[in-house]
Amino acid sequence: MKNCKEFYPLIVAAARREPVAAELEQHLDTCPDCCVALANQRSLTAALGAMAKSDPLPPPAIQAALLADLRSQTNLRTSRPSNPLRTHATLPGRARKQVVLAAAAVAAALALAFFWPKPQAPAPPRMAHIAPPAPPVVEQSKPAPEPLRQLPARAKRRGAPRPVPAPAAPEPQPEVATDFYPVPYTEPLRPHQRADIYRVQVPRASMAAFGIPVIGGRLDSQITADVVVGEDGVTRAVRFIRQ
Amino acid sequence: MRTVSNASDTDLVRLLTSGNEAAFQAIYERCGKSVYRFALHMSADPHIAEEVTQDTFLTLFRQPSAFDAARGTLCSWLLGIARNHARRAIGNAPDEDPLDDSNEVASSSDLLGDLTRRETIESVRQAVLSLPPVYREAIALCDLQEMDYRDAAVVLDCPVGTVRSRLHRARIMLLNKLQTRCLA
Repeated sequence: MKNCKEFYPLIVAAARREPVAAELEQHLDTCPDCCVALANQRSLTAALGAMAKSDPLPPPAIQAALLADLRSQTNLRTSRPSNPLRTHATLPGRARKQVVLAAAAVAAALALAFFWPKPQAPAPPRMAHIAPPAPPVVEQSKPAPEPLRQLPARAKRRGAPRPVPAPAAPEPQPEVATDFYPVPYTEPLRPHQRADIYRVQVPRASMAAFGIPVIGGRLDSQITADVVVGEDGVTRAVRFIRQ
Repeated sequence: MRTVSNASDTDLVRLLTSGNEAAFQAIYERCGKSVYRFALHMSADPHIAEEVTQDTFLTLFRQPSAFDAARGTLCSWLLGIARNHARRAIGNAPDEDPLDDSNEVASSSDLLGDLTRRETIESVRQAVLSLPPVYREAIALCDLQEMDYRDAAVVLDCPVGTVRSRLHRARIMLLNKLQTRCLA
């Protein structure tokens, strides 16, 4: 014959409005303790039901943010070949959070690379023009060091650099960017993997981590960088921008 | 005519893969409330619940092919993802309750009266929150969301019998905690 403890699962089931077993009904006729237990369990069911009814609905902002994220992903997927660059200023709330994470990740990677011993100094970076996404802010920059020579737009990723005449008028100047530098100790992107480019501000000292000479200016001042972040959230490469 | 709102889970996920916003709206209508509430029950923090809900759906956006309708409903799958995110968010609390390992049934006199008189919804909420996560999630799914044992087993990635036993034990713990509060 079952004892009260063995009936307890049936009591819980009965309290949860599941069909009451015949053997439990018989037991309840003769066991006041189990009757109390069933009553308590039923009151718990009622209390939990009241609690569930009082639960708030999800804020509409969640759905809106997710919808914006879906749109941005869809747009990115369809426009990536022609417009691979997007800035964090245009991103929805969720994606802005990713930018912050990406910036943190690249800062960590840069710090790691900075302190890691290097077998040899890398070759001076090549610079290339890229189209400015917004009217550029003219920096109080000093003359560019030798390795940071500017290339005309069509010379991007080609051989020898050609000198460019200085602009006579204060026209919007094109941005000058280094090549992308792979972040050490990360797996390269596979062909099917998606990646986003985020524009962030990093300390100027970060350039030294990639062997780029930092001439003039404070090491702790900020410089613009484009960070390639894979869909897995891992930062893969970085390039530095002079505006 | 079949519309997006009554499309199957598999069809909705397929449409979502191509960026169909109506499919997303339908999925969110179907599962968003459950995911948010589950996260809220697990964390008791609306901000964490929002984060978990967003992260859950972002996982769906990025890995829609991971959904397998043969293993359960889309909501069960999303709740399973939400469970992982929620566990990360609330930290690694112990699954056992060292202060409440008694398996005794709380049956001492008229808890029903005490509950209706003295216990408010908030105290029940606090009692649920004080449960170890494995028991809290059983209560959240089976009692608060009225999910059946089979679907809950998919979410919790465990056998149905385990869900049932966790729920029973969780309810015993809850009654003991509420009784303690009533008598305090």
